[in-house]
Amino acid sequence: MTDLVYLAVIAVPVLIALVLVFGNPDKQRTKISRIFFLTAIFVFTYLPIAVLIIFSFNEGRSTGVWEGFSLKWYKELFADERIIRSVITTVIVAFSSAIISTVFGTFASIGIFYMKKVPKTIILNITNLPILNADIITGVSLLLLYNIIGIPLGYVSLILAHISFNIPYVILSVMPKLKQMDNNIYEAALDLGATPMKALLNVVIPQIMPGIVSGFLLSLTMSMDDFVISLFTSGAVVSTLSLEIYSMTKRGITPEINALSTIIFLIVLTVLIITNVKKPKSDGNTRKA
Amino acid sequence: MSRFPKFRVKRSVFAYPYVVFAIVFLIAPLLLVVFYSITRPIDNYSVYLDHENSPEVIIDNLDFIGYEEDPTLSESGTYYYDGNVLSVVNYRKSNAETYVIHFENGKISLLEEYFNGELFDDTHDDLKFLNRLTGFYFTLDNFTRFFNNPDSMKVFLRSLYIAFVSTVLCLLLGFPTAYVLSKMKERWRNFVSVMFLLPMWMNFLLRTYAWRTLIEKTGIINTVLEAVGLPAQNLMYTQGAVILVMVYDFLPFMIMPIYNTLIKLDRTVLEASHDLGANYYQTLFTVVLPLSLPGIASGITMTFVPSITAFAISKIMGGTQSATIGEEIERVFNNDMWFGSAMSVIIMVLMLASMFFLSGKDKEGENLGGGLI
Repeated sequence: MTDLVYLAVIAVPVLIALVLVFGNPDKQRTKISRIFFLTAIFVFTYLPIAVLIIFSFNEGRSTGVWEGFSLKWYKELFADERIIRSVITTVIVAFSSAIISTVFGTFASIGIFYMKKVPKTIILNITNLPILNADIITGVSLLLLYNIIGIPLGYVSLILAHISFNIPYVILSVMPKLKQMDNNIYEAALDLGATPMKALLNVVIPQIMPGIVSGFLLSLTMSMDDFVISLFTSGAVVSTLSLEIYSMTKRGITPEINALSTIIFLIVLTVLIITNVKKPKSDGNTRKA
Repeated sequence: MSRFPKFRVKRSVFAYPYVVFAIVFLIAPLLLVVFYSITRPIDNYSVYLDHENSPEVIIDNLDFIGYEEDPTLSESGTYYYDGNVLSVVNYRKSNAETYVIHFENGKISLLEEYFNGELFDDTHDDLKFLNRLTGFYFTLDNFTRFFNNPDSMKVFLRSLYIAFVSTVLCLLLGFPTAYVLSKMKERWRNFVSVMFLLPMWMNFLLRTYAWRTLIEKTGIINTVLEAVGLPAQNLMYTQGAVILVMVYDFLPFMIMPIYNTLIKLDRTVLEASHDLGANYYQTLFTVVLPLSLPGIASGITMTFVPSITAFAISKIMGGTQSATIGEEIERVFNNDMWFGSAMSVIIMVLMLASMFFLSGKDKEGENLGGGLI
């Protein structure tokens, strides 16, 4: 019953907003309501983050009552060995899996590109599996695999799992670049006396480099953001940052998480500003499945 | 010079290692899930002997851990016990097979398996491994158990409901946001759209946690409500909280694909619609909306599919009353992989169905766009 009340509280303003936002675009009323609507969504998007950031500087333990400014929680965060260790683990896992998937995935894409049509379609569809599949099923299925072939849960199983869900992203970023590439360039390199390997390394790879780089960055992001698959494949000893945050939320609320969120938010913000200053076109579709 | 043929190396060889990798890490795990879902273990560890009442054999928990013993069990096998060795003959009626389990001090020390009277396998050291590979039988018990159990059905339907409501809300909020963004001046819209999508790059657990600080009992919203003189609301650990956070977490995934299709809409098509006499609303509903269907379809896929199985959100925001199917899979999987696998298969089928439906929509939209441009 209370759910219905909440639903009504949400649904009614949304419907009113819809009517206003899609009103006649020439009317002043529509313009104002559009700005109002965007602002509302913007507040909805940033209110929780803003609260996190503000209360990371709170003196007290509370996340609801302001008790004065302090950097106490940042100090505690950096003194927390578990968090520091999990950050290191995350970096190790993310970079090693991203590097391996990028190299492996790039060569795989080149190979798949030159396959015959039917096997090519099959392998590309298989490649899509982890992207389309729910994380929990990927995690559970990898756990079963590790059980059967006897890989103990730890760094190896975690990195293998990350590679398996990263490679598809690398292949999906490299394939379009291969399609755009002029195939005659490779033939020309061969005609000019390059060995196939040399032609590949010196001609093909530079041509598809943007795809490789975006595949690498995508892998890195996916790997750092992953929680569910890591939960199933990491075992009891190894803990990534996501897993650590999860166990922190289960243990109870400490403003340390707020401090951590603030730092992560600032990193994300800086990276996005840098990439967008370089490349004004939004790369919003990088995560598009 | 006949050097040309020499360079005709099959470049597809580069893909072969990946093909092997894909078979092992992408296909085999899913097949394993399917395999586990249609089998049950013959769990030798749950066979134990009560020495005080010896020679009576007590078989406990043989079918499901935590469930009463399988009533069909006594029919499907014959048990012999001579003090040290328990033989289970014709187990499950399926094969003429015999398991002979040797005990030492109440623990399994040796497991022998006979097929047609011949010793098939025995092991001392890795019983667990052997059990896993050989101790199973094919059955649909996992599925019937799921569909007959009102609790798991309740969780399943609840997940669908939560996912449905949050997807609808995401669409209701996401489409207008994407639409308004796409109508902005180009200078602004790149920056503003990045601002809207920025939280997507933040760890989603942190985004989920952020709401907790707002709506928990001592959180900001209640502090404000009390300051104004209103009663504090019990927002945390409700289904509403789960839906709220799902909408929050998945909204960028709805905005992004719709925004991407909307900004790629051909202006001339809209102008043509206008020139042919359509008014603003006619253009909106008969031109813009159909052309943005591919974006809407992928937006729905990207919100609906993860919200069915999202379990961290319901675990952090919801109480036991709002557990979702993902949470259930995670909880069950540690004790009972077979049942957990069956649930995973059900989810997979559901996702395949929704993707099939949505990809049909997507293609329609693409064809429409392709035909028009």
